[in-house]
Amino acid sequence: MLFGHAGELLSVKWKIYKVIFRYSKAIEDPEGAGQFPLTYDLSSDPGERWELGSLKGDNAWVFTPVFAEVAKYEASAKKYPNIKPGQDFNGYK
Amino acid sequence: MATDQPSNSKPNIVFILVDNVGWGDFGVYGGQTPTPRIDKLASEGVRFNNYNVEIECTPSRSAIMTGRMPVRSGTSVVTFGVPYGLAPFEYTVAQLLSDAGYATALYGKWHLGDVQGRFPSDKGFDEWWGRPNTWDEAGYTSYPLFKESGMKPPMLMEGKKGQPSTPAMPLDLSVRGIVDEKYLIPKTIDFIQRNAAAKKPFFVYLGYSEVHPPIVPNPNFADKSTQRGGLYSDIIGEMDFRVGQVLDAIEGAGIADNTLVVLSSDNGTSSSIAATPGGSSGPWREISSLRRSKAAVVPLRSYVGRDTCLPEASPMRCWRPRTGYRRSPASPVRRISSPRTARSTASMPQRSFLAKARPADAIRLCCSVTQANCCQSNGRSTR
Repeated sequence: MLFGHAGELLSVKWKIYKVIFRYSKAIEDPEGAGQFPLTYDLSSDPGERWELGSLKGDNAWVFTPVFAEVAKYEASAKKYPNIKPGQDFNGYK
Repeated sequence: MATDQPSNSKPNIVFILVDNVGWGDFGVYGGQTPTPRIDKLASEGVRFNNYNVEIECTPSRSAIMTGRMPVRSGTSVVTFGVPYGLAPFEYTVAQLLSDAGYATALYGKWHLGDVQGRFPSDKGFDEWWGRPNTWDEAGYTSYPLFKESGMKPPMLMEGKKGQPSTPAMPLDLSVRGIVDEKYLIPKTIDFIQRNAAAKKPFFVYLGYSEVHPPIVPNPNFADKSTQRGGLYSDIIGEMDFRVGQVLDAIEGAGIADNTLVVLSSDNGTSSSIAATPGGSSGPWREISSLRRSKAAVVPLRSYVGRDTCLPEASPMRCWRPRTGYRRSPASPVRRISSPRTARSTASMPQRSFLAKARPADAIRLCCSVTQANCCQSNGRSTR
């Protein structure tokens, strides 16, 4: 999982696939979301140049295992809240 | 105009919704693939030049079914893997027609809910066969890792009103290229013939599968014509033939003079998807899964009688002129071709030709701005 400057989820890798929820094209550009998450097959396309939704349009099944990973993370973050930057933290109760 | 048609008569309605077809894909709109059957269909009825659809499959289908803005229904976008679809509250055109005594059926794509209670047979259709969601699921099982995704293989399903819908067969690439030929068209034709024989008014909704990715060419049409040079063109060529099959069935059943045929696309082309290379949205901005749509347009035939156009009885007769929007002029070759701006929310049929509709419908339909006589070439809208 990759997170952005504001702590929001940018992308998730699941096996050979990478799904990008939010991204920024350059430092001066805002982070934003596409209309649908972007999916790349890193086994064929490690440079992330051929987005599967725009290439084939039959890849949405990949979102399911990715959402499952996200749900696991969110459940964990709820149980064990993320430490805020600079926060005094002495361990979970 | 067939003005002698009694206002409470019940014409049969054949609604063909093709998938991701662009404004400019048919010959009648300047498309380069010959589409003689569709062109003739358009020449016999009303051709809308400025019919505005929603941004993608689910919202357009929602608007067509309910006459409401999809944002009101929680159906304004395509979702994946999360609950969605028409809420029990929604009252569809199929329910309206069913309540008015019509036999109703859907064959093909629904994309308005994939759980019990939200299938077509739960929303006014006596029977249905097809895919609850979308055709791109046909490609899922072609990915080796799909088996590890935790998802069940996509199924084509079937159902009857009052019963739970059940899986019919797997939806995969082996059926993708023949689902229209072998299943959707024969089922549609059978339904037409059954109800024509029983003399029962009917509404059949054919959710045609192409040109939605992944597109697989039908072997009878792939590389078979010197007038077509590629995948997209072959798909459009087949579509024209299939539409012709349905029209022939209507003709053959002897009900052509009391049947409305509406042919529409749900949104514009998805030509920015490499797997569906081609297509034209004409002068309009393209829609695809990654582009917003401004407009796509339907060719439409709504007629009662071969030469008598009855646009005021069309399920899509209602119009919403857009303020400040300059409309393209009507084509001079059209007997009736409307330049007025229409919208897919305007698809709920009017009570004028229905025996019965609930009073509450008027409130429910407030989003679909309705106007009478708006399809007439000189008709002026009231708002």
